[in-house]
Amino acid sequence: MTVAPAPDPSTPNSATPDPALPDRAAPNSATPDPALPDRAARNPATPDPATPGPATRDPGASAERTRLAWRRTGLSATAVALLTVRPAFAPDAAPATIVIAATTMTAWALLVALAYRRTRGLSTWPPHPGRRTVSSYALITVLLAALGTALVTL
Amino acid sequence: MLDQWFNPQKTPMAGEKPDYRFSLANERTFLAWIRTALALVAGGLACAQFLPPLPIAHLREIIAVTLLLLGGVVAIRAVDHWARTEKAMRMGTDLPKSRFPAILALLVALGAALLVLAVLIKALT
Repeated sequence: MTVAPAPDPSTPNSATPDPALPDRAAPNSATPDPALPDRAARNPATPDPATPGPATRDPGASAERTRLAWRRTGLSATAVALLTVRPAFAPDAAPATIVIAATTMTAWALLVALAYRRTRGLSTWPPHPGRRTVSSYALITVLLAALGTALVTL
Repeated sequence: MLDQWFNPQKTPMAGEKPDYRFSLANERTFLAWIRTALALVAGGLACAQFLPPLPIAHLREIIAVTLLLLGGVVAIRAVDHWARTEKAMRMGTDLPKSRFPAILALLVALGAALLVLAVLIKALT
């Protein structure tokens, strides 16, 4: 790094905190950084970041992104469940195939219920960290893999 | 080990509760691995159901079972890594290192290379 002989205070340098970082509710954000342009003065509609409100709560949208991740995972699980159930609809389906299909749909319903429960835990403030729901989801995924293996090897 | 999987926040009574954003980021990483596992399972099922019988006996079933078992391993490793990361965040230690992503990538690349070879041999003969 070269040291400029007369640093311009209005020029942002590498020591300036990135304004795109989500940590807007930091306790020292009430004291304005002189290197940053005063955004609140230029845009009076911007709410004061020091006051916690719906706009500054969960600034990185962690809870919402996690909720959407659960939804994506549920859709993947649905695709797997449908593929496992498909052979049971053949006219000459073996009884074992039908049993596997029924077990798979039960496991799929459990996965949906777990994701729903987890989503409710995420909607509180602060969001609850995942515990048994997360581990149960993984073990039921292993069960789906085992059911698929049984279906293929039959 | 099961207790650590099912309750990684409570098992070590020492340590501090990490920032909720770190816990949720760990959870999203776990979910991404679960989706990887589900994709492997779906790939295995699709192999078994939609591929025509291959020239080598039972090769189709072997590919399908390999993918299904790999999916199960990925899911187990996902919950184990999630629990160990959660514990490390509580205790303030280094996050767990893992060679698993590299191993999985090499396995998938190897499988793809073998399939390319098989297709080329079939096309030339």
